[in-house]
Amino acid sequence: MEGFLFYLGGAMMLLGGVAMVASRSAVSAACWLVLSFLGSAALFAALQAPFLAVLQILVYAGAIMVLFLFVIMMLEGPVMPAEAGRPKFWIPAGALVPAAIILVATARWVPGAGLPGFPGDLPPGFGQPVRVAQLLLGEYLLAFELISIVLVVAIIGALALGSNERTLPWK
Amino acid sequence: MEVGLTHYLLLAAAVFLVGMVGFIVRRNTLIMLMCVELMLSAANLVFVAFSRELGDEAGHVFVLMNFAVAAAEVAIGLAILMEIFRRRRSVDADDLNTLME
Amino acid sequence: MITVPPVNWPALLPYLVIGGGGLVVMLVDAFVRTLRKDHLTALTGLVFLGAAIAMIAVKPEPGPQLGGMLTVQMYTRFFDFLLLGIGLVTTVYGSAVYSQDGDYRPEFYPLVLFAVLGMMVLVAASDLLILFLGIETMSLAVYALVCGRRGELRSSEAALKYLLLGSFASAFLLMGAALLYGCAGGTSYAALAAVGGTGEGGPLFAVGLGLVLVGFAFKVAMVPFHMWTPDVYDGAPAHVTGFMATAVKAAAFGALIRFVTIALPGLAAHWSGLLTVLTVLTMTAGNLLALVQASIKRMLAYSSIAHAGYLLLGVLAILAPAGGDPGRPLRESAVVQAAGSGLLFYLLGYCLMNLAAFGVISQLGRSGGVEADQVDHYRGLSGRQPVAAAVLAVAMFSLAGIPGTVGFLGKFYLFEAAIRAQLVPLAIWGVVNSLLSVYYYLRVVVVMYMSDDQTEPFDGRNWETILLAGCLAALVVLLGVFPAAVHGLTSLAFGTMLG
Repeated sequence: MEGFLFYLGGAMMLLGGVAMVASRSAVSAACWLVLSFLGSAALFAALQAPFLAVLQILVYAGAIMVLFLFVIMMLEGPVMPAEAGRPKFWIPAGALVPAAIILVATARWVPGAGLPGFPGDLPPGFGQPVRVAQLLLGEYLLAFELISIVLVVAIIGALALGSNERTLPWK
Repeated sequence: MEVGLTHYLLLAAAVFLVGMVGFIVRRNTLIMLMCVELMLSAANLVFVAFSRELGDEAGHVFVLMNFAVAAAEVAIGLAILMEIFRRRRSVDADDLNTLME
Repeated sequence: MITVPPVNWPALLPYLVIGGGGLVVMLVDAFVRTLRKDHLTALTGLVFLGAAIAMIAVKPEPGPQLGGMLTVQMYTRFFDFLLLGIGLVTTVYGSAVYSQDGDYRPEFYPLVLFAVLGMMVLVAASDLLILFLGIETMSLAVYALVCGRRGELRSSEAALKYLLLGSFASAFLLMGAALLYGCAGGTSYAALAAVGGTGEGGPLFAVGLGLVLVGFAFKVAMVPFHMWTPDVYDGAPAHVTGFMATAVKAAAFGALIRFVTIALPGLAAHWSGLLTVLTVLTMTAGNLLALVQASIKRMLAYSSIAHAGYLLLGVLAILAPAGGDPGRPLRESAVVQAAGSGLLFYLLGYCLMNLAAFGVISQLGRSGGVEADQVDHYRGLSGRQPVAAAVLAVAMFSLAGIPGTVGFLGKFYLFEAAIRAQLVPLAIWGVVNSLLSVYYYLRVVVVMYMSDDQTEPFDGRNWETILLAGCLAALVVLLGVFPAAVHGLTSLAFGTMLG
């Protein structure tokens, strides 16, 4: 099952990425990127990280990509022409060559042969929201607080940049 | 079909390289931003794979933080892009030439 | 069960003051209707002063905080004071610029505060996650600050370039952090030191370290990751450029020095060959390209690259293995100590002289949508604004490393440490480079003092900015003549980090 999820999710992630880089218009690029993110959600599930898998779909493939598509539609829909020329698949595909070289160099990458799998024993409840939350609000409390500052900065920045030439309603 | 850490690392390396090459060759700034997102998600995959290997969820926390940081980066990036687009009617990186000497 | 690590409030007080102050400034701006912008400037200044007072008044036990996420010690306090000072100066410069323009930009104040908070956290981080979040807090705030001219294409473009390349760099940093996490089995510097200290981390560990260093290289503008610097420094408003050239660079170097000396002494030695090449390239490329610039902001951008090269020379003096033997992680403590205190002294001086220079540039004001940017705009400035011209001249002399200024002593300490670390060819190359740099710095002085007094459109005057820049210039000279006390302080501060 995990092996199946790996090959399915891996193929989605990689193909989605290659197609995203090669696609002519930003709209189709965003759609391919969503496919890639869905693939990585499947990989998270295979890696015993169900919480992250759900969040990957909700936050990344959901919220962030919707924001992307929204902006693309606002900007690009009416005005921007697609980049000239045919989609160049060879460019991103060329990036796979070094990966393939590494692969051949290790030379033992036959499924199930030579390379060790993951260790079988995991703590009970590994990757469940409860355990992640305990870390997040315990050991990594400072990071949790800092991320709120990061988000405040993003809000201030986006608001200030977006409110160009207009006064804020309460001013 | 046993799958181990090495498989995941190779996959993540390939995805990272695709994103990197995409960032370098594409000139549409929207797609360049997406390429960065792809690279970040490759890094996320490495974190989760190592978490699985080590049986330690610190990597998961890192990935969670990265979700928020990526969202923040995209929010600011898109706000700047729209600001430029209002004046320039283009999101092509080669048109960012006001600063060239 | 959630186990919250023990919280040592006194040690965290400065961070809380800055973070809470940022929120207060933001909310005051949003909800208090009868507000003039001077109020916001005063409030922001109070927050910076409050944090500084909190650091002086409350003396916590130095050591790791929050279960090893942060480390508070004299080294981090040194950087905290430096960053607070830069934040305060930038606030005053910025509010002067906005009142000259008649353009009220309330988001500037909380963004500066949050950027400084991110930098302080970045320097104090003892965990990769906190390092990453510190860098991101700083960077996101600075991206928005660079875009600080309402409706001006140049600054928006600079912001977009910075954001694209900066997030590209943070992807590298994150990938590197992921590999380091996997190899060390944890994200804390202590875990990294346990693996990296032995010098045996395996190839993945080395790759991870390299990727993290690429992330740092972008932030400190090291060749070949410097491409963004001239455009971004040029496009950003001058007071923000000053902030980037000083605070971002100081914070990034502060974190870099801690990262390589604490977390990775053993393995860092393996990278010293590559680092040597990059140091030479950074010095040389920065200086050569600065020679041909007609724009003073671009010239200062390339000069900041060159100065990053000098600073890297100091880092190398800490890391370079004795006699080319990578088995010996750190050199004998006297050399490390000399190099480290020289680095901190140089960073302090570098920040002072750059802030003085950018203060003068920003107070000259704007005309036709651009700042006083071309060297020609400074023709005869000494006749029109003698004080501003004198301040800029002192800054230029110091940047060039003329004796009697802090820039000279900083270089002296760094090159001396490099020679003691047996990096003689590098030190000689550094001296050659700083001789080369005299030409382009002094060109500005020559233009100011030896040309006819023409009427230029750039003749803004702002007494607060000039007063502050004048104080900084006075400090440049003062530290250049009486360095002993401060140099002793930097030596002590660096010593606390080595532990």
